[in-house]
Amino acid sequence: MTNFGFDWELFNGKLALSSDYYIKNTKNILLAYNVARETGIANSPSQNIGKVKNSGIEFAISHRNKIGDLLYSVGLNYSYNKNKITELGTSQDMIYNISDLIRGIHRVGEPIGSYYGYRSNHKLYSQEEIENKQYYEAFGRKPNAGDLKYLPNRENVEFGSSITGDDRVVLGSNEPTSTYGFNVNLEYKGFDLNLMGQGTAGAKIAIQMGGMPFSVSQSPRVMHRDRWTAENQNVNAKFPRLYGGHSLDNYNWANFSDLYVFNANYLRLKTITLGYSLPKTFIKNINQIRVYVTSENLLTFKSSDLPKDYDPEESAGWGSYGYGNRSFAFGINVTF
Amino acid sequence: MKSNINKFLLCSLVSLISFTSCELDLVSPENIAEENFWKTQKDAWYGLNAIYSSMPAFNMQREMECDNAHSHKPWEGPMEQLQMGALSPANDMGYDFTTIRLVNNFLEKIEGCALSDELKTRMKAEARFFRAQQYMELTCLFGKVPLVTALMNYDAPNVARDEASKVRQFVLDELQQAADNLPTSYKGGEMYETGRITKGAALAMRSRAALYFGNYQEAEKSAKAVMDLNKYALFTVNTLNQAQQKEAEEMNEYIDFNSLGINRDKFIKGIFSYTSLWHLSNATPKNPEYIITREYQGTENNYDWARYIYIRPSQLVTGYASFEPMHDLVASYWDIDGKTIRQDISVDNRKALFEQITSEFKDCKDHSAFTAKMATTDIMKFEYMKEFRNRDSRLYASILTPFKGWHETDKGTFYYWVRNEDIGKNGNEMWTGYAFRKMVSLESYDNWASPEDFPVFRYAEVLLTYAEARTFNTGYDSNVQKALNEIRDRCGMPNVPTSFLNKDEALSFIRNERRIELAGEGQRFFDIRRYGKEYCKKVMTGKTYAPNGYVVVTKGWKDNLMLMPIPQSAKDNNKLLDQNEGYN
Repeated sequence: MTNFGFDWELFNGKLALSSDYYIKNTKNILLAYNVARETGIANSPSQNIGKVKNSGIEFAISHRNKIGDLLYSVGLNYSYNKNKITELGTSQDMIYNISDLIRGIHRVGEPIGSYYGYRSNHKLYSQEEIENKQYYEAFGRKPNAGDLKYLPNRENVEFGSSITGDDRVVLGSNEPTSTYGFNVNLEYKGFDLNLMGQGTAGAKIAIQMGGMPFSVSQSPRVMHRDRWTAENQNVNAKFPRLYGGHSLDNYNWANFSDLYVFNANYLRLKTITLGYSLPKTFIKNINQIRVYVTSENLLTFKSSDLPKDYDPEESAGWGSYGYGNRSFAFGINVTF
Repeated sequence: MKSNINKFLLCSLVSLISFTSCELDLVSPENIAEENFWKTQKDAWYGLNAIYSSMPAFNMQREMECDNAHSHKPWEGPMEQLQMGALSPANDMGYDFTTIRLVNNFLEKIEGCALSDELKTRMKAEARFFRAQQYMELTCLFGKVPLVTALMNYDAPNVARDEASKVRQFVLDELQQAADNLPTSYKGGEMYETGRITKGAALAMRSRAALYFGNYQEAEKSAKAVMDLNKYALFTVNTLNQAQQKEAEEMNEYIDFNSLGINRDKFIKGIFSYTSLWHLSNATPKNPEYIITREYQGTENNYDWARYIYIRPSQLVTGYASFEPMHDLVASYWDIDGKTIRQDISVDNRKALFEQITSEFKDCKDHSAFTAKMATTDIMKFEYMKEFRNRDSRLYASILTPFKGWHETDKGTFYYWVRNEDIGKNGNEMWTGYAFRKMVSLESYDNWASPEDFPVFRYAEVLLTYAEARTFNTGYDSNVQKALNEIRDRCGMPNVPTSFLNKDEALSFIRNERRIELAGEGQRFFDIRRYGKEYCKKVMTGKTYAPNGYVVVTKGWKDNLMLMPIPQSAKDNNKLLDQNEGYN
């Protein structure tokens, strides 16, 4: 581990700065070995075969002061981390199931937590492209207008030929590159206010439910309104066309692609608390009474890419139907 | 490695439970480690029993991947996708080597165990049976597959696919050698439990394998060898219980016994001889028709999960209606003469007739109101019912057709109610208009599972394989007719015709007889491929409808479906695997 850093305190401790730059190599990371199916081993044995390099900077600044009756402190922190697999022993390109649809990959040079699947760049086929035979077959099927445009990753693939497993690419990682947070404390006479926020950027999240109605017969959700339809043939719509009922066309999306991968950037007001302490003279024999109201996850700013009702702190997989637990509480502290 | 041993032990214990009924000889997993295992005769016994956990069981999947059955639940697997005619390497249709590993490991390790040569040879033959069976399935599904006959380490070098002809010869050789080294029966007790793989089991599986491979000479030879053991017979019943008698009365409405000159007693007993062979009290290795049996204890660890709740419609006490027979199958049942396939009425015509009869019951609020109304309604006055009158006894034994009664189950008096508002809408009712009755458990274990043993291989299949292979090899002779008439006698149907115009006519007759007798048992997926691309294209193209005109599935065929795709996930971990033609 290599580490450079500094910590400063200025103006009588009113301003504090700290910064760090690091390179950290971790070896013997436990990963499931790539086992060929022909061995008959159903569950891959885990082995200490991974080496990972983390490098990045961390930065924090805080300031506190008192002006008259107002006591305040604010803090900001930010870190940037780059994560890269540097070695995998003899087991290269370890592709594994994150869910029955979502695939992950461990590959040298790519971050831990990388997704692996087909690439469409969220583009859909237009009617002209189909008519002019400017399309690739995929999964034993000729596409229709409004279908996801799976793209080849091999050189010189001609129109009319088929997308194959070799066209899968890394579709981002669920490891964030940036992590940030803030906190604010204010005290004025009997009042106190505390805010704490956090967020990340650079992570991708794969959510299976985002594409559910496109693979099997599940009901579409509000977000699926933004899709190609016969009336509105928008090739830049976020979702491809829907096929009703039991149709082979529904299986067009049954393979993991960037259709299911979303930007997971967010900043969230994790907690906010407002309190008031009653003056000491108010009641005899009681030292202090403080009343407060607090809320968790009151406000979330997130990538417009993510479904509205998706909690950005969820992990990849089937996904859940929720905003994260948002709570409100009211309380009284009594000190005798 | 430790966790592998533990898992292996768990398997052993599960199998062990199915062999011993009173004395449970349990060894704590922590007392077993690889270094001190594989020493004694008992260790070999544990190891072999673990392999028995790979015994096939009731499995409707392959039936829903051809023209016999359907599932309206895509999350149960890619069955409907296959019926519609396109698979991709994202689908894993059974590229599985876990049994092969268990056997290869056993064959290596038993050499270090102290036991008699005689017992060792027999146990190895049992194990090799399971490996050969798995390879039979693999090569039928994928054509070329790597032939792995020694234990592979987790990091062993990748292996390429071997020619299908080599794998198929291996399967036939192994099953022959297994048969040569196995007894025709077991005396019972530890090491000699009844229900183990016998000579007859190995020969029967060899006849199936040879038939699937299109090797009719060997198929006939092995089927004949099973028949010559004189050990097996088709199951029959002689008396009917009360519920069965009630249904027998109902059959007077379905069959014109007098005017057609049908022996009523024989026909009725035929229905129940056939359908009862799967029922709890008859489902045991002692059943003369059971050549290979999947045994269940009916305990919380050891039961069949599918034959009660998955295969019933919810109106029959409870059910998910996950497996539903299609009209394609219903239409294939003979007329009562045992040789005519009735001209199917048009979809529109059936729809109109179905509307007529269902409107009679439209005011029934619930199933008990429907049952009450059934008691006072002469349903045979409706032309719709004509389709189900005077048909093969096995239609009544195998499939619940609309309005048909079935009183033997835990529901009691029951008539099957097919409603417009369920088809295509209610996930726990059938969407084809028909429900399976064959193989379905009459009652449940613990409200959803079922405990009855399952015949993985029935003697009836041996007779059919013999008949088909012999007709192919030498023609439709008296030996063929004798074998087929055994099947006809049991189900109360007339003897087969004594001659056909030509060999092809005889073969297509036997193939339809095979489809009817073995309906739902998982053979037809492999049979239609054996009959060739043209046959597949014919039966796997076009729409299948429910009686009300709802499109159950639009079948589609591409020639690449003769073989399944090598799964992408297998190719990812073995760069030497090539893909089957037509898949990318």
